[in-house]
Amino acid sequence: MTRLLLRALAVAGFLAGVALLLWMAALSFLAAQERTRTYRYLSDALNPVEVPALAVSWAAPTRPLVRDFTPQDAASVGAALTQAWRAFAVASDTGETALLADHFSSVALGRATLAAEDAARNGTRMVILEQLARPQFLHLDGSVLQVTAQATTVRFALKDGALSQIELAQDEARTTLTNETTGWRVFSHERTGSRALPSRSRPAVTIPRLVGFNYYPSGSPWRRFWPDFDPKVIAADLDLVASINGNAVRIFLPVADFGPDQAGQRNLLNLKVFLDLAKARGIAVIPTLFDLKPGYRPALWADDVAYLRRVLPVLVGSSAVVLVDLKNEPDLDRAGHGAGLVDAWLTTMALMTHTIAPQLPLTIGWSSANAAPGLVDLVDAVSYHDYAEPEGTADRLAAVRRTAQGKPVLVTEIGESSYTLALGFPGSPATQATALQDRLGQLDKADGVLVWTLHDFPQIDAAAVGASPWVQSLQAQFGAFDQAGRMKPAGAAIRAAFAGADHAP
Amino acid sequence: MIRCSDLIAALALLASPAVADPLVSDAFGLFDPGTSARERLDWAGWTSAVGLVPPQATDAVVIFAGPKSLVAGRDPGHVVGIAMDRHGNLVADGTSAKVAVAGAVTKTRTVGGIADLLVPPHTLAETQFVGVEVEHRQSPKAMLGITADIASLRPRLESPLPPAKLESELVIASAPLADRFGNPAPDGTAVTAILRHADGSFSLAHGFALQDSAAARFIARDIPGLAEASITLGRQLTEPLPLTVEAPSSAGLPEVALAALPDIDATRLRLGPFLTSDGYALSDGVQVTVTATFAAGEELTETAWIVDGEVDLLLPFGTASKLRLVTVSSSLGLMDLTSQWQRAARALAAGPEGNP
Repeated sequence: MTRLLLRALAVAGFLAGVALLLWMAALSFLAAQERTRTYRYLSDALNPVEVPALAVSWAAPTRPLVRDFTPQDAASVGAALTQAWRAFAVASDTGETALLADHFSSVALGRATLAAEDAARNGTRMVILEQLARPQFLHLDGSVLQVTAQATTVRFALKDGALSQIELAQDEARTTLTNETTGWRVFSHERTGSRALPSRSRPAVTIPRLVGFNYYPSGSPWRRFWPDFDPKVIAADLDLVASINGNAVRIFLPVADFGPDQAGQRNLLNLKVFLDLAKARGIAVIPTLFDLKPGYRPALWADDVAYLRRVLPVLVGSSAVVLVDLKNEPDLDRAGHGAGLVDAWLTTMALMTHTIAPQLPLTIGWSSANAAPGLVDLVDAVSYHDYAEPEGTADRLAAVRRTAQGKPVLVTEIGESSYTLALGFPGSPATQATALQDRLGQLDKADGVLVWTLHDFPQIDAAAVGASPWVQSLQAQFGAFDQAGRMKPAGAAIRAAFAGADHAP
Repeated sequence: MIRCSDLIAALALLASPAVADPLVSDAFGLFDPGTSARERLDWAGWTSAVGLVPPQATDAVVIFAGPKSLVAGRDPGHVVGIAMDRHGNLVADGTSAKVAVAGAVTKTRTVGGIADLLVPPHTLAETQFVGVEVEHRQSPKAMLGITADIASLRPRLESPLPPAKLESELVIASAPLADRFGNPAPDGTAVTAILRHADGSFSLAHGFALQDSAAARFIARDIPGLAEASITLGRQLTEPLPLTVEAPSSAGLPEVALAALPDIDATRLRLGPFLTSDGYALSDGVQVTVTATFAAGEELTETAWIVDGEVDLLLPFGTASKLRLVTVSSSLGLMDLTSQWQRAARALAAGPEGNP
């Protein structure tokens, strides 16, 4: 009898193994199918060509010039200065200093070359993030220009891969340029003064308890959100959030969608529409900046500051924005890009955000409670994501709060997938509801909890979550509402947990 | 302000034993005075270690003089010197300086390391040598080039124009060209000469100014008779003057030589030389038209150009053809060569010694 049972178990195990192999093969086939995509327009298939943002703005001269400094002069000199300091950042980053001769000459070329070699050797970097320049002297024939500038500059040092020193300053600088056959080149550059930024200390902030969702429309998640922006869909979804007692949404502002091009301008207008729709419904908004940012190389930091200059004024203008998330899960980038470089970038962008929009409370969306104590000094509220085991959720929150220097602590992503492969594995709508109910219960002392996500998604953005069929299947069913718009059991659990939330951003 | 030697001493302390911490910031980044190139300590400007490092005394002056071509009486010039100390730092504001223009010295002071002088418009077209001196350091010599005010040039032709000979070079030259200040037109200033012929057609030739006069040259070919000549310079047009192109007269009929080409029923005709009253034959390239009129009345016309003083034609009829009239048209006029043709045809028919 025992032998018969063992044989039956062996056969069942063999059949289960074959079924598993067949399933994996089918998923692999689906993944292979996914590699072929149909685009309606050629431009959709190509990576967009970045329009470099000019890092120089102009003020009127304080001394009379013997020749007009025209808008064309401002554009060409602004481009030359932007490219020169970008080239300097590249040379410092790579040690390849030959390219500096295209942008610097004479004394400045010698100094830039020496400094870039020093930087590459010693792990130091300097990036001029933006300049407010004044033409102070212009040769009558346009061959020599001297400007004084307030140059917002970050200098930092990496030691053993970690950030060992960082200074954000507003330098007073005097730059002399010569107009040559190949264009303007920096002849001389001297710093005449400097003050640290930001200059004011930040007061403690108070934010209401935020409960709600990380939000994408069901039909246009991740990178399709802003290109397919539909105010009717947004309005209906915000009503849906309010209907289950949510008072906040966390949204994402991809770098590529808020560039200096026409699409970026359109998306800024749509962002304002979104904030207006949220405000009208008493829904607070946590915009997450720099989403899907591809890298951290210092040569592009000036472009990142230009992104802040475009986006932050829109956020400042709306009372719906109660907290700004600087970057989604940047700690996950430390392994690939270097912890020191990522932390230097976060520090720089946090300080620049404080400088540009001091009234906006800032947080960083760390991927886990373990990462949350990072850079607490820079933020107004601590936030992290908790996808760890449900057990210990409250303990992790308590641990983070102990390191938060009294600042609000929010858990800006929790979630469970209801994806069912078979027999309730790995999850189901019921287990999703149970798990969320449990975790939300443990987080009732958090200053904010946002669930990933409002909707299930019929189409998953492989560029955002990866091509793994398993991950995509899970990601498709994290919602409180299914693809048909029906509330899942998780929705009911969330509604109960969110009951009593304020709606007054 | 802190002296450079103090800075070096301060940074030497920071650098002990091997690495200074924190690093020092300057205009080009962060550096460790203990391990980086020591010349960074000499860069003037603000550093995080000691504040403002002043520049030292002037060591070199770079000069920029321009614009490159100043119009007399209209364009000011600008002489600019950038003064630096021996480390390449711009010298301090207020440093005494002199700007010399054609020997005249103007005192000034530097701002942002720059000493400059606006040179007012000068009416004499010339090259002026300029230089900048800052704290007894002089720049290399530079030049300001002042050119005539071309816009004020008013070209005119000397009246009357001498008659021109056909088939010779015809020069249309302006009277001496000078701007409103008397500066001669710069060599190479472009002009265009225009000949308006009696039949309404035009001839154009481009020329240029040289030694204060502008001229354009024609080959006076096929334009005999009266014409009007004028010169343009920019938008300025001279008053037209009459010009006669004299054609030479014939000093005798050209010789006629015939050769029979019986295989193709054709005749080879050689005409020339075309003698002129000037004592030399018509030039190569002159167009000659031969018209043969047959006894039945039909005409045949062939055209060629003089080569080596002669015209060589292949006529599509035999030497025995009955011709009533043979004429030749050229710049010498219309000539009747019927009798010469017939004589040559008879000689050809008489025997081989008559072949051309």
